[in-house]
Amino acid sequence: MSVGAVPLLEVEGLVQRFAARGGHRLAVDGVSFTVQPGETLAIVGESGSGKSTVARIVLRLLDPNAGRVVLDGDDITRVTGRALRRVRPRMQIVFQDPYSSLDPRMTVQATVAEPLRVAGRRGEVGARVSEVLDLVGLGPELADRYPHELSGGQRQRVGIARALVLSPELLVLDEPVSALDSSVQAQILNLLVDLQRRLGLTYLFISHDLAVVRHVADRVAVMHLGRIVETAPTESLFAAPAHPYTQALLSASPEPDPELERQRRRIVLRGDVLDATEVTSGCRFRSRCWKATEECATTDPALTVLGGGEPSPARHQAACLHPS
Amino acid sequence: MSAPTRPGDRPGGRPGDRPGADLLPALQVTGLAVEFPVERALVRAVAGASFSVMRGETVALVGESGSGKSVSALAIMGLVDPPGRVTDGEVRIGGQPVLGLREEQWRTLRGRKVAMVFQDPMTSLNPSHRIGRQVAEAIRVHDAAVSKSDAKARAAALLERVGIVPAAARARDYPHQLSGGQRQRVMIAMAIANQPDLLIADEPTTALDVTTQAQVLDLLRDLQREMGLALLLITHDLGVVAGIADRVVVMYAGRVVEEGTVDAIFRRAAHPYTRALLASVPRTGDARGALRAIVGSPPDPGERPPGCAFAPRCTLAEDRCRTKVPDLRPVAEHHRAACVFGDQIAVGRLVP
Repeated sequence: MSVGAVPLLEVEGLVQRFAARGGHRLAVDGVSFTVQPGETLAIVGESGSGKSTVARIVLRLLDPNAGRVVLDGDDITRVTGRALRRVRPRMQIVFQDPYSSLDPRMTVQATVAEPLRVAGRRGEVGARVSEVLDLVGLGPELADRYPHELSGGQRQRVGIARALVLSPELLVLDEPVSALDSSVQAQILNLLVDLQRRLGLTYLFISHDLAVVRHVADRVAVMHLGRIVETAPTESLFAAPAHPYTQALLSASPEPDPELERQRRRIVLRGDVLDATEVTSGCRFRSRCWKATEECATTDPALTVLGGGEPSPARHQAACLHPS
Repeated sequence: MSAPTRPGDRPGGRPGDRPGADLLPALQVTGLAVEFPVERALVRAVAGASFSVMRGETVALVGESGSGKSVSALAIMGLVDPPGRVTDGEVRIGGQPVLGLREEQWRTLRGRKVAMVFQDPMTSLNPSHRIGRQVAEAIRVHDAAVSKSDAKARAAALLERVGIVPAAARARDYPHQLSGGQRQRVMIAMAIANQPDLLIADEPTTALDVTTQAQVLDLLRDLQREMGLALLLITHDLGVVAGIADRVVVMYAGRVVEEGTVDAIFRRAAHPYTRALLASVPRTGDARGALRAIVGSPPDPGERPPGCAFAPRCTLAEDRCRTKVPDLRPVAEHHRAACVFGDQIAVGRLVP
């Protein structure tokens, strides 16, 4: 990735409020990031972090209250109608659960062909569908099968083929392996990495699983209660996590190694995640943070480059008054 | 297995205890088979599984979907609903055979001898009752002698113990007012309310966020030590297993394919499936790079191949693997594997 090239995706100051008891909840509160062509940015977070809401805004499935989404230099935040229909094929999504995201009454062929039909490109269906089925490693003999006749891994390959059929530039991968059996996860992750290389795809990879992210991402953004609290190139983030929340996440991720597990000094967080409605000032992580000071209750920390300097996607940044 | 004993042989034990109960496994499963009719065919969800859990021991029952691990747990608890049924084998809880017990006989066992925690606490909690009341009811269901006010006090103490604080105030909460992790804590409080010897936890942290998962696993670990519980933890997550288990039982396609101490399984796995699974799991400590994927997927319970069910995905498989199901046999002390190459794989002479 050449730094300074035009980002394929640029997200700036996104805010998304949802109505909630006693007012509203800030699901996303000032999120900005860029993704370069051919790059994988992973957004990591737990439930309620806002990571899936960001994905839905990027895909124009949700209108944000503030902020903008720029695809390849064009502001697409408010485009509608014909302009939106031109944008849609350029970005597609792969869902978490291949069981519920596929129509049980449609064959593999029909499922993968549907986006082409909707786009009015019926003429291409025959050739293009067999091309993408081949790309994702599904033999032509599976084209007439229904979802219930497929394994979980095959179903997720169908989901990927459907997302690829319109030749998108950006794929939003929303927990693409979380619902799969562990013996099948690695196949799908390897396939995604391989497809990216062959097709020059750009990935926005949404996940709660740090180990998975480590294997696919170029850069990582950690979200907590609607904010990005840390972002860095993958190696840097895993080698030297700076935000206490990132450290807690990493320390809580179980490793399949009994020796490591016995040695590990686990950071066990106090309490539960604060409700974003309860936070009116200061750092939102402070109620669970072992480093919190009085200052954290009053000062809302912004993303800052560690060691100082101008922010850029290649720099390690954290939103904490006491980073490590 | 020790000789059968008669109740009342020896005085001095806890009331209701069988003599020598501490020496018997808290749970002994032998040759368990469970069948379900599916579209006119019979599917063997569990096809002859044997394993045991001693008092004070944590055993992880590991497997993917369709491996039979959760059905095994239901069979142990006497919760396989018709038309599914246990067709073979034996289950002993604290030495007592439990298969075929009538529902009223089960009532004296559940809660007091064995209790279960499920993946989704919302399915087991009553949404319209306060949690304090539900914990108190769990106490009184199994011990009618406890007065209402005693049950209420004990419920508060239990909630306190599992980390729902301040317990007296939180006892008045309804389930929807709790987070997922707190609900699971309430389930655990209900499960340990009558001090069972054996706790079965089926994917207890799978639906939880990772930081919450760590808290709940810590709680289970502490309770297990404090109460000397036999803990059977059913999970698909090898990271969770590595952190909590003393021994591991690996299931694949309805059978136990390997069993050993946690170190034996993670360091010297003897079954090609266990090896391949461990090699394919992404780790946060690894450098980036292609993962070692396993080809294919686990067979449908209705379409298992003859012979070793892993043979179609195994790099070592020979003709004999495809005809005869390999026995679970020792490859080292306290370490067994159901693979004809098991002893060679265990010592690293053969690499799948």
